[in-house]
Amino acid sequence: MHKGPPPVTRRDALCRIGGGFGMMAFASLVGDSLAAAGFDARQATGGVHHPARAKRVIFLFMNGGLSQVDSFDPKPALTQYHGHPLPGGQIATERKTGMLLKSPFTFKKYGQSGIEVSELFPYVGECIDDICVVRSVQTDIPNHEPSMLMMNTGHTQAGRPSLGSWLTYGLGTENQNLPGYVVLCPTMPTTVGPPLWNGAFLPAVHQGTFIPSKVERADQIIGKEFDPKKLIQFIYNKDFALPEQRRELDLLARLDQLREVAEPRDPQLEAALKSMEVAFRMQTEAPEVFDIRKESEATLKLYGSGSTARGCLMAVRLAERGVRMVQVYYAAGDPWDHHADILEHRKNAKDSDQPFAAVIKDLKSRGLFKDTLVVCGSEFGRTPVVEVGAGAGSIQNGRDHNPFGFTVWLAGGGVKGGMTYGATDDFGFKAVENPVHVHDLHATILHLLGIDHTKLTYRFSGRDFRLTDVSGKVIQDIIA
Amino acid sequence: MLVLVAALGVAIHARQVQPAPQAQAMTAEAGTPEFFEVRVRPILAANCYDCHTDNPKAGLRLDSREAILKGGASGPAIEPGKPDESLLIKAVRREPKAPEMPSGRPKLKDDDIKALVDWVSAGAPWPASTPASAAKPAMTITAEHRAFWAFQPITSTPPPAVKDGSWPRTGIDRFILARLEREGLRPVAAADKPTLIRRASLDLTGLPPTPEEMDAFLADKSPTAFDKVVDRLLASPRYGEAWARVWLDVARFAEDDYRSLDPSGRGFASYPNAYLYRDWVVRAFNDDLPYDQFVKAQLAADLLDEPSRVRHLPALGFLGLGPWYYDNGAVEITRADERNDRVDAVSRGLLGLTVACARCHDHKYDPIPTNDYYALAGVFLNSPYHEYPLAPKTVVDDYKAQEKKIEKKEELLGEYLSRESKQLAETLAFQSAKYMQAAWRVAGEPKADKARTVDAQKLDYELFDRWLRFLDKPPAFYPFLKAWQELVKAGGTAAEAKRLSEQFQELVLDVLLEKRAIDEENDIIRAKALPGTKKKERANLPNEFITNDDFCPGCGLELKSLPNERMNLWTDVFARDLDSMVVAGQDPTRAKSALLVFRGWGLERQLGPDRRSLIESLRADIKTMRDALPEKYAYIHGVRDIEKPVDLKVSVRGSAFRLGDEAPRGFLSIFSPGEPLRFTRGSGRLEMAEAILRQPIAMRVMVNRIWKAHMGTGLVDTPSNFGKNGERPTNPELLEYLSQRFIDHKLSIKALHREIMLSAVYQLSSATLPANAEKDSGNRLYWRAETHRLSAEQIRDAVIAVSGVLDTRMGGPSVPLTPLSGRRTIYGKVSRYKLDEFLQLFDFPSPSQSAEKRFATNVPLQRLFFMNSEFMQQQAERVAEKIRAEKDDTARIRKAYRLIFGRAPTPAEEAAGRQFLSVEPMKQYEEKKAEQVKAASADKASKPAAPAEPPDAADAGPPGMMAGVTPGAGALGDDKEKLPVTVLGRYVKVLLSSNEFLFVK
Repeated sequence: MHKGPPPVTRRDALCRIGGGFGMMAFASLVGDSLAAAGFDARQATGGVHHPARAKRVIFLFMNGGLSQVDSFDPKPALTQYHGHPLPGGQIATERKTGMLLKSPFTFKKYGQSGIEVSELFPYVGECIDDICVVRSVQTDIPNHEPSMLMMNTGHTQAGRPSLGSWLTYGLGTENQNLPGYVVLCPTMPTTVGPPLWNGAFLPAVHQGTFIPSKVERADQIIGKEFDPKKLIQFIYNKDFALPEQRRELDLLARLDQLREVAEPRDPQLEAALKSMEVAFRMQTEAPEVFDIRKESEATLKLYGSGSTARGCLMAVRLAERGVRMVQVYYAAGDPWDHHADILEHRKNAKDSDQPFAAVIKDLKSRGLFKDTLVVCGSEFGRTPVVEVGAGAGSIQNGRDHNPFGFTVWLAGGGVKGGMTYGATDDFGFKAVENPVHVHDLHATILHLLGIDHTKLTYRFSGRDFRLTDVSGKVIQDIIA
Repeated sequence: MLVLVAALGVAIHARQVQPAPQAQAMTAEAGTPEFFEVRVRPILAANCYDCHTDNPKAGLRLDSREAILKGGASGPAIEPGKPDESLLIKAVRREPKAPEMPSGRPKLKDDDIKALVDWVSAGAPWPASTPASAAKPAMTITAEHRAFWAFQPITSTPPPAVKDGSWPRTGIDRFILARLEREGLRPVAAADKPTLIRRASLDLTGLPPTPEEMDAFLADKSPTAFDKVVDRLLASPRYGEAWARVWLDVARFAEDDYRSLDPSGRGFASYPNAYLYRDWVVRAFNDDLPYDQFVKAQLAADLLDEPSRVRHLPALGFLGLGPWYYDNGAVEITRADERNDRVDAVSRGLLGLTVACARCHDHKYDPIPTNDYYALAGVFLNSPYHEYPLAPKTVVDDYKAQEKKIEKKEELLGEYLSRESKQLAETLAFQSAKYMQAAWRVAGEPKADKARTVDAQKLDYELFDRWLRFLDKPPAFYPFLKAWQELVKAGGTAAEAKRLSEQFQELVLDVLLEKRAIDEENDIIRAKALPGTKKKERANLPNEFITNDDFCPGCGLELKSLPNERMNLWTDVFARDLDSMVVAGQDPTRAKSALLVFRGWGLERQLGPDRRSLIESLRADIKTMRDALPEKYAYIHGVRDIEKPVDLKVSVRGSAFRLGDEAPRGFLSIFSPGEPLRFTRGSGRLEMAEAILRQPIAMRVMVNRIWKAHMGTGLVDTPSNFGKNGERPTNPELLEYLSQRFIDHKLSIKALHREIMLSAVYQLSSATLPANAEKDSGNRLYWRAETHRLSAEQIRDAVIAVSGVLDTRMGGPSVPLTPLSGRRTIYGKVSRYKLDEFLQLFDFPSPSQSAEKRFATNVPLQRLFFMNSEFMQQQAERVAEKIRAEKDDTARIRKAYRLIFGRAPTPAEEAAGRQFLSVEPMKQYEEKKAEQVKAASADKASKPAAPAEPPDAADAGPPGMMAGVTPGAGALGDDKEKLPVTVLGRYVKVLLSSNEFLFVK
């Protein structure tokens, strides 16, 4: 007997399960046979390969490159040897650099753990006992585009699926009325843009959904003109109201039923009808998530003002409703890229500090902190030496890109709080203790979500692709 | 494993307490080949082999036991069994006096060191099977490899005998039925005629049949009625527009690349003439270009003889439009990635073999040695990007010359203006004291009137305003204004103000002169550092950015600068406003200009009539020249051979920096009985095309693609992987038969369509049979027709065909797929950077890599598109326009059914429609809406049209099908009038969203 494949193979099922919107696609293909497709583990423990510690990720992205030695990686030696050459000779980065440049910001110990945080992040400092500061992250190339791609997709060229896409592909969705992977930024976060939240060769449902989070006025979190409906494609009909639309759908259902009397029921056709009902409900539910006007005055206050504040609050609301991954970018371009004057970090940090801390506090008060993983960082760090090339502009008080050692912090979702992991050298240039490559960071994130990074694969072009390519090592030491 | 862990635990513990007792704490596991391969070799490879292999540092190689024992300048690297005495261990432990290894890298992780220690303790065994050199011996191709089904010659057998002789119409059917009978299955009944013509029309042309075509087919009772339909559809130009897409998926066709360092600064580099390749593919299908010519043209049109060469040159887009990646700082890797794309597209697309898997190691499943990969990649190394102008040389030269002239003029104007601006700023610097004193009067007590002061002192109003702001701001970047601000605060005397202002003026002039001196120095530094004084001319070719220096010449130079504070003052006064730069933060474009810098009109108004008219005339000149410039000639994005071809070296383990032996350009070893075929003519592209076409597997792959596109699943349902990991054909004899028929019909694709479509199996209904479903639920043996959702292209094209918006013009530059654009979807823009959202929503494959199949998902967002998009509503309104004139709702409903489904509605369907159309609130709604529209248009007529608010440039991207729902993106396209929403239109929209319309049975 020829054994044709079952209606869906496990791989097919995996291909089709949705990030958010995609769940219906999955259900339409396998009906109720999740177990048959090998998903017992996921159902039982919330992890695919082992029990999950986190169910979702909020990734706060300071695109452009946060300077580690001015924020979370204090280096007294820098102050001491300010103006001296880097011992052991220059390290080549993207541009020409000069002498050691001390941090203009003062550091202070916070919390029980006494971890030092600079004056740029006093609010985050207050939360430090919930945070694991990884000070030894490494990436490959000191250029924004390849490093943005690496941090998001594990590869330096565009065209691989991003972290969020892998997560929705691996874990499916908890809320079929919302996209599984949402990207927030005031405006389109180029320089790279869409390739950062690309699903690449994964089925299109795993694509991230970009939602602009630009505030109407910089000193507010909600402006008068704010309209959550306008944030999502097709989410409302500008010509008529829901009851009228309900009549359209009823007619459609009736006509499709009439056809099916004549012909046998096809599961695909039935799924189309179901998916229509979900779509109908989404029209009210999806805008509601983005409607931060529903939050109390106290919550709004907690976040402060500006686009990052709005993005962070939306991120928490999305996480609360089961969105698998939310990314909050600071702004379009490379806004943290302070080649000329590191003092410019002050403005960006002021926009970010309070909202970042608010994410932690708010997740806690909503009871989500223990199973939401918060990741915060940049595509790379900055040099401890001053940039001196023509690109440094006239001020020459800035720092170049640094892929050799920089800081990313994590919180919640199974990560130990109040600890630092890894270390850079005395000047904060290179990771010397427990280096963590971006692949390792990805492996750890997947691990916390119950996924073995070596087993989450997708066969394409004859090869089993992975987020971590052929490397990646879980950092066990930071897992609580 | 547990034993191992426990034993190692002991070993570590022991070592921590006292010098390790040697050799006794080791375990059998640490001495196994597995342990070596899993733990030890990767550590050596990742940390040591950059130096200690082919180019052994200090004379030390670490890639064989012999070499390690022999050691280098400092003696043997290890003492087997004695880790504490082994130099290698001491080095990685970073013990004093030992060399620090790995050099220049962080210390190895503890468990890695532990693994090395255990390995040395175990006597440092080196599995015998692994050779001394890092490069493994070439994979040998065995008889078993050669016996794999896909590499066999085509062995066509005559169609087999079947029990039910009445069912088969063609040879295909006998193969299908024989297989079904063997499994005890039977085919379902044939499809009815309306189903069949809809299926065939969508299948071949991507469009539903018109009511007239439906009528004609139903009326044609002859036995050849369907044959005629197939012939008509194959002859339609619409056929090529539908089937080109099947190939374009495989060809990863796209019209841009993601490269952010693009001179246009839009984040992607577009290939403006990519459409020439797409149009060539459409034409090739319509002309039924035999498959061998089809392949040869795409790989080597430039190497064909005339007139084929000229005719097929656009086909080179297959290679020329493949991704040219962004150079990310490692040129070797980037170029290697590009070659990988070509190898992948060619090998999977044409041969169904995943050759790209052999880039880093011999193929794990198929007989493809790494060497073969580099033999093929070498072909592409010698075929760089090239643009072929589609215009005579004189036209091209003229155009370029003219363009250059314009650019020169523009440069001149720019230089002139900036010189004037600079001069003006310098002149104004001499008036600093004057303006400061005036400011003092206005700010101090008693306050002088600003306007009067301007008049009295003959000041420039705007400049004075700038000075007031400048003097008022807190000195964040330099202390030079401190004294002045204190003076103003304290009151002070006019004499003091005079003194301080003169001092400040002096300072500004000093800084200006110092900066000049530094600039001169820097000019010399630049001149010395940049070889030659001429700037590299930018040609904007894809692989042009080789290094960062190309992108930003001189950016890496260490230039001189003034002391910080003086530099800041200079910047603030003569370059750009520092405060606004910082405040702008999230939006650098908001930075204000510096105190004394005037540009645009601010500059021109201060220049005096003579110079102003000079500027005017320069501008007019440039405009005249621009206007006179003809539209740029089109050119083909292709490739061409380099003059002196070279071979690639094998990249050991895929690393672009570790090169092994040379891999002469040539074909895959598996396809030659002895030595692999070598390519000797130029890059070898033409020879490669010819070699591919000689392979039976190439025929099977193409035949299977066509079969899959008709039947839903392939005989091999991994259409781009016929290797060991791909599927085996569900009906191998049929695949052989089809391949043979393809060859017999001189590789005509249209003949193949005819062959497939005239079979009984193609014409089955989509009904199901429980007994069959039980045994073959996936319908892999083809006992019924598959119901499937229309593709993205079919959905949009079917809707615009029914609404009458369809525009049958063919070819030309791509258009945005706006809600009212009538162009077929194949003519929409395909972007790798940001795929059209409509296409993406309906499962269009990512154009970054060759796609073998499409998904057909069914997600709520798609339903939202049907419910709420401008496209659906506006197209539906256009159908409604066509039927509104009918005498009553019943007649309208009937006409709608005829247009949309090509059939009459049932009484129940009519009743449902009538009820929908007749409900009272809807009528009211419609009337209300009509009034609104009227009022709005009256309003519009009375007012001059306000310019539409520009969409947020960063967000909007090109307008597409999603337009009309996103705020700001309102373009409907093709200046068609937007119709008001009506009840009838909403009814039609429901019909267009129904499963009957969106699925094909």
